[in-house]
Amino acid sequence: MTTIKLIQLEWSKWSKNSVFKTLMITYLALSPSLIFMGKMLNQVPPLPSPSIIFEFPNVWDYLGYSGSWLAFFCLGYFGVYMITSEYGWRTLRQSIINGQTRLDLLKGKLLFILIISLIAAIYYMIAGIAIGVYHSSTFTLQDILDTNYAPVRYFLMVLAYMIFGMMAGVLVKRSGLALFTYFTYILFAERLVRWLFHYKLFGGNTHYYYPMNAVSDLMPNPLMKFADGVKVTSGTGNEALHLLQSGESITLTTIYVILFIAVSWMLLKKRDL
Amino acid sequence: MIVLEVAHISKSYGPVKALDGFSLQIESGQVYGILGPNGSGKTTLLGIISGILSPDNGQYRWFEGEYILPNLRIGTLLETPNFYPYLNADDNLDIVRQIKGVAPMSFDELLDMVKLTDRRRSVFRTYSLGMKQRLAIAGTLVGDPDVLIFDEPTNGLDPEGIAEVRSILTDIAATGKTVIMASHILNEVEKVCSHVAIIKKGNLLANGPVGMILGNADIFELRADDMGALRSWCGEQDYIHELHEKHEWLELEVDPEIATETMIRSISQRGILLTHIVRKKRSLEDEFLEITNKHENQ
Repeated sequence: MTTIKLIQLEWSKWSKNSVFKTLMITYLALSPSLIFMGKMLNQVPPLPSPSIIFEFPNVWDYLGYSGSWLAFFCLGYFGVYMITSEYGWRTLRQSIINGQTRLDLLKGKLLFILIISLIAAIYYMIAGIAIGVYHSSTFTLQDILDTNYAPVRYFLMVLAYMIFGMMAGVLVKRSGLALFTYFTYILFAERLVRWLFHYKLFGGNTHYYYPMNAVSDLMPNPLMKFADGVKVTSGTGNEALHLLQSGESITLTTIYVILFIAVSWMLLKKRDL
Repeated sequence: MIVLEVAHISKSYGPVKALDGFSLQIESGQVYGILGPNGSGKTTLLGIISGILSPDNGQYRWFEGEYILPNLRIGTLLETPNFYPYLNADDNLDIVRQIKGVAPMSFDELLDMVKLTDRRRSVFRTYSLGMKQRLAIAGTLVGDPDVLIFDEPTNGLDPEGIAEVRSILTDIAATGKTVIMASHILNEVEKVCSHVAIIKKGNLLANGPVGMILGNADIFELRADDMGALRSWCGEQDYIHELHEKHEWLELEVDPEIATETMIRSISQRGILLTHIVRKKRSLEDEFLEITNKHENQ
């Protein structure tokens, strides 16, 4: 099947699905608005005034960080759901029976994820520019473009969450268990493995290269960056606050995304449906 | 044309052998029943030839290897109807159409055939089992495939649903398409199929035209005032192949060409008065039990 036909097919499947619609509407409604919770913050020295959150270039970091939680909950959830629900309804196996190849089946899912990720990144850019323009008293084009590849990082972050969710779905098949695996791994399991085992056994910085840490460092908590800056100037280094550089997290996430796709393909190819 | 060749296929689930070196050949236009008890390997066989299960050993080939994606020319209903629960009949059939690579089309005729026109705008999850099954049959017909595969198509349906589905299947079989239908219901295979393969514990026990598997013999039940005389009369008739003593009558297997009147006249000419006479076809059930019992005794 051609790329366009695969995308059309996925759209036919999901455009009338209430879970898909709810997740997308939630994401689209909250991703530009969650940042405005910053308006409720009081200034706490040595942190800067909360109003800088909405100004260029900071808006990219803060909007990206709040968006990363939504991407993790809403879009990653859909990554899991789009596979496990099809296992549950047995429409995945019916697609093969009807003549779709397993490769086309995976390509369709990946293309749909790719498009959602692209839309999310474009939406992030539009929202970032709108919020920044409205709140920055003076700015130049250079200020707007000073994103440190934020849209690319944002796109990759959404893509990684969704593809990781998809892999969890292919791996576990059952909706509840796959969602539990997805959320538990990202929120707890990887951190426990990193800090309780890897760091204790090997020390150093290699435990920062775990997949979901690399993904979350694409859009890190901006306050962590600020705290890192404070530490550097005050000379009180703390490894716990180490963040991967943009280049590192982009490279690592790209590698992990390829790995997640490869694992999904191996499972989908070999398993009986 | 040989539509399907299955050669020495084996498949195990742990210690359970679902198929054990199964081979079969199906030709174009045949309506082939795969008959066997529950757990005999029918669904596994259909799962393998549909591409959703991988065989441990052996191979199969569709359309003599003519097409790269043979499933696009096959309509399959395997076990349960599988559709998107929140989509209506048209939307679900349209997804099948897209996968089959068929140009946009109206589903009026198909939905009319399976009597779902009135409910075409209702979402799938609101359908009864019979309606779901009928939609699945419509799904198999999208793109006018050359071959249709049905796995236990009347399973779980009420008598009305069974009658409706059988009527649709008979209509489909009459169009000259190749149909492969698995069933454990003998009557169903007997009514719909031209050929039958009998499968048990993953082995092919017998296959061929239904008439041949059924045998040519007709069965007569005879009782008379003088059973001894009737027995000796039977021994003299060369068209009687087998004689079984039943509790109250004799059961005879005779050539189907023999007219009932001929037998009655012949018996009465010997001065024997018949008090009970029944003529019936040897059922597929009898044949099935005999074949499977033979296999078990080997």
